[in-house]
Amino acid sequence: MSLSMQLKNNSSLPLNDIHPLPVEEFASRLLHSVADGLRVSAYFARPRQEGQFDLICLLANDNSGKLQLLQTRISECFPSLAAQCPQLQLFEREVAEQFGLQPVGHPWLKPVRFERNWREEEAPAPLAGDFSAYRVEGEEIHEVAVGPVHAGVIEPGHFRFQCHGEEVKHLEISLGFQHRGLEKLLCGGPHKLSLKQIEAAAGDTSIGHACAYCRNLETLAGVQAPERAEALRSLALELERLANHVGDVGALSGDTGFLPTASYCGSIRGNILNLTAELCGSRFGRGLLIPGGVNFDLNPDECRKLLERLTVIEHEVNGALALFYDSPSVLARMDGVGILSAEIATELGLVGMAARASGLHRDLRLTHPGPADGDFIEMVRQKRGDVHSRALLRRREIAASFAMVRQLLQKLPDGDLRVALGPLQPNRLAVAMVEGWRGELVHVVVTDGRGKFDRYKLVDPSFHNWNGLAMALRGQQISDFPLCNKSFNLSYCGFDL
Amino acid sequence: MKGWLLALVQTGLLAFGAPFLAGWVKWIKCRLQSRQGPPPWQPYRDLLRLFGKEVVVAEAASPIFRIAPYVVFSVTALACSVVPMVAIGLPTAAIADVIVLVGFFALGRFFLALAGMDVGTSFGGMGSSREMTIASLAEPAMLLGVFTLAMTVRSTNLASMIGYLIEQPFQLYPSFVFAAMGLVLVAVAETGRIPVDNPATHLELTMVHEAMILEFSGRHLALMEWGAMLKLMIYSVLLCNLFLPWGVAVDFAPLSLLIGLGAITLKLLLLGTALAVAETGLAKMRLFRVPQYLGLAFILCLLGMLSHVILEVN
Repeated sequence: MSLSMQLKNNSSLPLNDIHPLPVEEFASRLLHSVADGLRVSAYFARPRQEGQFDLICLLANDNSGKLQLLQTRISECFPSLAAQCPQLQLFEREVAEQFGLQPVGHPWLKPVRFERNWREEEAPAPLAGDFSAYRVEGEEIHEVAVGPVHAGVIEPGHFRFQCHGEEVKHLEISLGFQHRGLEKLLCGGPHKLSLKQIEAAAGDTSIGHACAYCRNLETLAGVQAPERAEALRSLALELERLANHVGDVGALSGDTGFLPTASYCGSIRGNILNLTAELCGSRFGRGLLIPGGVNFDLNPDECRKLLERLTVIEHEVNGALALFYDSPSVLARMDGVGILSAEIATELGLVGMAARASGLHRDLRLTHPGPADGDFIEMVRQKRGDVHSRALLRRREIAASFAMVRQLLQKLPDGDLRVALGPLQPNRLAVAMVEGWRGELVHVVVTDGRGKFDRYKLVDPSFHNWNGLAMALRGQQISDFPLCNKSFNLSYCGFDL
Repeated sequence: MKGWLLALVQTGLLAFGAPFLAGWVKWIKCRLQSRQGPPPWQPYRDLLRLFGKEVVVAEAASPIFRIAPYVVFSVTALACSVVPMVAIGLPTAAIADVIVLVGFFALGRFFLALAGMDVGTSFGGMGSSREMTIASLAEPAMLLGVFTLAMTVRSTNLASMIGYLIEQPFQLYPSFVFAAMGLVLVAVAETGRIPVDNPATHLELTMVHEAMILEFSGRHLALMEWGAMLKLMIYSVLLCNLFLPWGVAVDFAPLSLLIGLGAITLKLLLLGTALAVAETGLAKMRLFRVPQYLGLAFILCLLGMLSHVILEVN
């Protein structure tokens, strides 16, 4: 294997150095790498000349911290590896949907997000939700359809359960109701709106996605954001993690019918979002990041004030969480529900929180650290993979995040806020991966001869993890679905892009 | 004649007091979560609003769906007339005993479950199946608990039960303690409160009672909701007056009626507060643990009966 096919997080390669492999070798190397413990982080097609496509696969090695790039050249059809490597199945369906390419031998070829084929711009867009669901047959089998419109204020998604009495035999999840064509919008960029669009890729992960985007542009421009800017980015990322985790615990609490923690967490989440607003004026961190650095600074006085407010919030959070996690009826409700084994999680290529709750060693801050991740020491993991594990994981990550935010606020490095960004290097491929609060955010960008985006590929953790939810529900009671769903808390729009 | 008038007034009090009790529990729950909460009389506004709204009925609905709200409400209202709330010795109480009361509830539930399945939505069907499962376990426990009391007072008539207990000097029967515990568990299950069902949830897949009434709207929904509040009220009054009978008026003198009214109001407010505290501190249990919970209720009632036979019969 030539060395040039290896790269690290936040780095780039000239396109000339990437040698296309013959399709068979691409397949065998891919399967070999996955068998060696690597996982598929991104897999996408890039159109070349008429009818020709580059099929690019990015594999992450969590032990060495390296990324492996495989590329092959195809036209119209390619052999499907989904049967041997299930974590590829959704990626292959995505490629098939985006460019009308045929994954030959795919066992489950269904629409992903009901996207219009990129090559047929005039064709009418397919109708989201228009699919034939897998059916379990039998006299006592009944089918339950939920969504896309839900009773709560949540995003649209369709869930189809095949049930035997109260037991779920199979769950099929059909998304795509919020498809905006983000990847296509980014082609030819960076546009003026590109950063704004990236921030809205998944609304609860604004900072995470913006961070990956900015780092990609910095890599391509050959600059590095100043230390102070990276520290502020880390601070914002951890605040985002805190707000979402606290909100999730509240939502879990609400779903178990345990209302005190639900109410407290709802209000505390707002207080944490307000800390982000203190930093940049937006509760969700919109507009904080900019390629080359950050837009807003904190003076020592503001740092002190934030620290004071953080102490109060931490005290409140600890109280609300103790109430929840020390309540026997709550523990009985969550224990053993929706178990996702480490084997299935590995096979499906789960990432982030959900993977760690099943005991997998997956946290980019440790395995593929970014510029300001040096201080990140411990990976929080659980073993069992049930709702309780995912809930407890959040509690422990909340504690770790509080410590990190405090540390960052106490010693923000001095320096500039941003550096000027020159033009992007042409004909390169850059990768930026960020551990968002939900899991790994992968941004792969390929520039054309003018230094513009030829292809911008985003992978939100939800893309991997929705299948984990479907598998976790097998053999469970259907009344446990809302709780299970909340314990994953996946993004619909992050999947739909 | 005075008796009949009083019975009518008492039934009206039960029916029109029920929304307040439901609102009271909700308000206390909100306060316990440091929330402002809607005032206790909010359910009256909600019912009024629903009565003023248009009824939308699914195309697939059969006449059962249309008559179900009226049947459910009127059966529950009839049950109200049997329950001694302020005074005993009313003529209505003599007509029916506690077995008829359980029968009324069963009839209401039958129509509720039919209506849940009628439109053919998957949620309604699930709700009906869950409701019947819970009912099939709760009813035997309830009857056993009531029979335990009946064995002591040698009557299944609610009014004579309460009358007997008031006349007796205070005495702690072990059987009563067991039966009380069992009946409280049954009451929680039957009225669809946490930990068995969550009346405030929006998650269709976890609902029991709410799943059956998802398709109802306008005055139909109002009657269904009101019926559910009535049920909570009836169970609360029964628990209060059977196990803490003091204050119930034994004659129709204005003063004793006034005392009776004050006593039951106080008891209900206290019971509502206790319910709110319990609901705040407990999470809803997994659906498949409900049979174990009701099994416990059954065992407690059985223990009550056994301890009556062993300890109290001489």
